[in-house]
Amino acid sequence: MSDLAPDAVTLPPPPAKMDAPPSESSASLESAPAPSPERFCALDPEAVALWRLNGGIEWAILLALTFVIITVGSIVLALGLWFWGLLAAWALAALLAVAQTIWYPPLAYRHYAYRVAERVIEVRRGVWFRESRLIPVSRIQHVDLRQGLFERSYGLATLVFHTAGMHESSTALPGLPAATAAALRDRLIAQLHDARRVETATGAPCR
Amino acid sequence: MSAEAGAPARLSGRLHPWTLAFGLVAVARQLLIPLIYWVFSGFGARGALLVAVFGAPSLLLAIARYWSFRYRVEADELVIEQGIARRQERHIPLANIQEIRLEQNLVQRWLGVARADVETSTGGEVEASLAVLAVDDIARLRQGVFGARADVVASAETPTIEEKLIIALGSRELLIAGLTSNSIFTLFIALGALFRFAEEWLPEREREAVWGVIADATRALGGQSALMAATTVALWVGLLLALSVVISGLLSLARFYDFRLAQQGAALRRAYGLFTRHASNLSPARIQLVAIEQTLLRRLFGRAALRVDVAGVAYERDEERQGRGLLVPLLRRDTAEALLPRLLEGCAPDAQAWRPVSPLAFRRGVIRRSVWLALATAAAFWWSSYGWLPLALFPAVALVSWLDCRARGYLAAPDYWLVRQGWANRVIYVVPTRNIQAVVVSQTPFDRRLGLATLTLDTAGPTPVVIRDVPVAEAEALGGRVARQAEVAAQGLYPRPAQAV
Repeated sequence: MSDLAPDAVTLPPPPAKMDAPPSESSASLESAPAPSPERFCALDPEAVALWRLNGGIEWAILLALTFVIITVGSIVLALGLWFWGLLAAWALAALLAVAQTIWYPPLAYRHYAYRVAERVIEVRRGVWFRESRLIPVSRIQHVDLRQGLFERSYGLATLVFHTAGMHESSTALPGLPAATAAALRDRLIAQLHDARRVETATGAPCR
Repeated sequence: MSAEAGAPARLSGRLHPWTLAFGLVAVARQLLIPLIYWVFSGFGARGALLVAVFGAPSLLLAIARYWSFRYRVEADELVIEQGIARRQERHIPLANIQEIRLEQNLVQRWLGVARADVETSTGGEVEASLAVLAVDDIARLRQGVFGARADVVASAETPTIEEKLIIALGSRELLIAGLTSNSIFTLFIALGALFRFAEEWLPEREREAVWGVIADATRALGGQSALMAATTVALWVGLLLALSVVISGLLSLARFYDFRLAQQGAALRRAYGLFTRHASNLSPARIQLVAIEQTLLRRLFGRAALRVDVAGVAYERDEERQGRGLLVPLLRRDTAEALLPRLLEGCAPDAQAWRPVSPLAFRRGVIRRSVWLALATAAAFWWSSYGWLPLALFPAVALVSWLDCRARGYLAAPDYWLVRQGWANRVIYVVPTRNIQAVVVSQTPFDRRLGLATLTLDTAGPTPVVIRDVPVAEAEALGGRVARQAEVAAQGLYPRPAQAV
């Protein structure tokens, strides 16, 4: 595209304070509480190691499979010299995979953040494709706490919030310390049962 | 059999005896071929055996169904029992029943019976179908199920509360509805039916003769000169179009005959249909989203269709055409807007408050459509030396992009959002804030270059509301605000222990 934009304008970097949003008429703001100065929480730094491990394993399986296919295929089809070409391409892919595994998770980590402010859960993420998902707490149908095998060994957990929406019905929040995840879930469920306790929603520490 | 052991049933009943007759007809329809064989073979023993072998099981099933089918309304459940060998007992909590719809075809109307479809919010499917009951029994069933609830009116058939007519469609409106619908589609259906009819009922020789007349006429008219040939083609196309318009007009007339939308207490009551009469009630509280839809043709007539999304219900295309997904098939655009406050409480859009999307949307539209145009041109070059011709369409690309950019906009009020889009077929979505389940502000890499973002408002209905090309700061602020407003609205809705949805 030939669009010339001097500097890219993006969603504000997550772990910073959110700037004051009111740009609309004050009349419409009356029905909603004022924007909160609540800070975003980062994920557990261990998440980087976990994502590296997960990514590394996925790549290793994929690369091993391709290697077998290339080798067997070359022998069966008698590809001769072509085999070395394919092998070189494979080696290049492996190199890229290693680079991606090392370099991407910290980037993704830096762009991941969440907060619970004024009974709205906000999850931000995305390196190239940015996304900010906002879920009013009372809209939560149920909360899943998931812990995979590797997640457990790192003491991490993933929370999944489900709403009754038809298109954006679930939002995952990975890379939380297991205790934080459980506490957050309990707090949200308590809030669900007591819609009026607004104060419990705000001012909660990150961990 | 249906011993009322536990909770005393407030109401119980079984199917109407006419069910047996309808069952018999259904069996006969299945057995059409053996029956015809039997009749034509002079009521021979072989034919009788064939009919008995194929017919007996279905007939027994139909009788068993009638015999064993029982329903009862208990303190908080509707219980439906059926089956002799394999008994099935279905318990539907009364609180989950959204609607009991009444469907009646011509014969059933004459006999005073109808099918009652019990709908719950799970997936929008019919949870139980009671076919057939006397119309009075359905009224009693509705009374038993909804009697204690405030959000649904007691009866769709025998109004106990006075109903106020909101809109009734005359035959003129219905004809317009048919003429402006997608008539080409109905034409194909009609032609297909015609061909099948001809193949089955017209002898080979007659069919050939009809084809011969058509072919001869075409040759005689079109064979004379190029002009005549063109005229003939135009004539045929015109004839087919006229035919399709007439067919769709008649179809719409039959489908929506005597359409009435009325207010009955808190609920909306809708009834329509010439041959098959449909009657249903809708509680405005269930409305997730209202869409005012205008196709290009309907814009010329100043008409629109009104559609509502109901939680958990996604209509098939077929049902949509039959009108289940449409609240009003055709009405004046200004009437549609005037109707909004009756559907969504407190919704009185202020025309001044509309906000456009970013002007950059025009540039993006031009670039995106130009890419397609360039690809088309490249493909055309491959084929012929006139490959540059598609480039002549560039002004059209610019025009469409400009119209598209201008057509898009949104109106953010505290209690509801309005979003409009579409340069040819226009649509306005009205979303009550209390129904918003989640808000997503997203940016693609291209969005980030231009400082734009996409705002998505998710509801429990099937239509996603997506606003593209909003300046990122605005999208961010609006997204945060609407999420908080949705939460506040939900707290207002559920002051005590919260119950989502």
